[in-house]
Amino acid sequence: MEDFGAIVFTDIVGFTELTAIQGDDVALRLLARQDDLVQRELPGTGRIVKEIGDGLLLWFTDAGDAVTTSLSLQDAYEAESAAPDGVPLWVRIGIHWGSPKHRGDDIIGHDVNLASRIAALAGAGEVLCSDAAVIAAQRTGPMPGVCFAEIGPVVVKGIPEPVTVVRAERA
Amino acid sequence: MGTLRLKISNRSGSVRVRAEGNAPLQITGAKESNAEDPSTMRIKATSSTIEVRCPAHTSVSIGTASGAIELAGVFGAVHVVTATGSVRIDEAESADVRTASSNVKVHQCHGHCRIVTGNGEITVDSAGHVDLRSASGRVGVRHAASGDVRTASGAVSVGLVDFPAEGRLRIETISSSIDVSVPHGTHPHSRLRSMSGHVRCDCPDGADGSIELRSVSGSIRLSDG
Repeated sequence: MEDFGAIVFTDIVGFTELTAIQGDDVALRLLARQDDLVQRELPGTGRIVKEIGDGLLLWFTDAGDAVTTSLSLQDAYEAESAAPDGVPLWVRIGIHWGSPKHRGDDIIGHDVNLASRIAALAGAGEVLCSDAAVIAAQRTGPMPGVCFAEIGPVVVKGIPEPVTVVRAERA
Repeated sequence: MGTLRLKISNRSGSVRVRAEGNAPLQITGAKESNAEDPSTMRIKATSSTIEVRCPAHTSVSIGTASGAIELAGVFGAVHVVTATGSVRIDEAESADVRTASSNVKVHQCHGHCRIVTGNGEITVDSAGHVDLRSASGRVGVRHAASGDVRTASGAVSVGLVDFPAEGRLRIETISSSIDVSVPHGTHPHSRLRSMSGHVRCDCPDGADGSIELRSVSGSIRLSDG
């Protein structure tokens, strides 16, 4: 039986510039703060697969939890950035529902690559999802407090049909 | 039948759409086109140029990998996702454009104008609300009633031709400069802060809208006229 789940990529926008200006110590503190916030928001259905540079790869067995956790993370990042002495913690997040191959604790495959592509389309502070992730998140009905808006067909290398990508936000 | 909606995808060719009057729908260059439902037409090509003529206020969603995208005339909601093709939009009710490295130019957007780009340049002549995100591309806005702009290293220049009393503008950068000018005699409530960049404000503080400009190391300038 295939193991379906929500694949979530996060990526800090402007991390290279910030490191160049503020130095490595500030960069390390920012990553540590990101880790703290993720650990605080992560439900029992989710785990950190690995760190990828300044980004994270997360895995959720529940797509709804992936969406609500991602939105909560964005709220936390925004609050952090808005503090008077806050260093910008601008993060883009992409979610896809699929069945990647497991290699130890890691996950690999086409679905992981697609989640990464979706994250790259997001702006700082945004959560974007594939339509597969939205369908999985709403399989038992609409998610309270969350709305989805289609951003259009996305042409992805290696996939014949365009992928529909959707923006998730607080209702 | 409601407003017509077109969903157009093209892997590497360009897409040109003209929306005017009550023009009948005409499609050239598509590999296939079919009605998804009574008001939605799906149009697909792989490498050729797609040209479409449609009625004014048609909503369009376009996805390409590398072709240029030109929307001439008056549109409803516009959604565009492209990797490298340049994007030009004449007039739309709302716009959501995402690119990796393309330049994006929007002449007039009556409502929400959201643009996300990596290193492409963003130019908006007029919009109800701008929501602009760029990694390293420059951002230029001539008129917006309100807005939210974030860039990492792309310089931001906003020359407001008018700014309503209820207007709100927030611009944040990491290393790039921010240059905002308001109409002569406008006195917005302003909050300007750069951790290590030069900050200059030529506007007396007032209640003509709200402007917040923040940068980590970029210079900030708010000027009158």
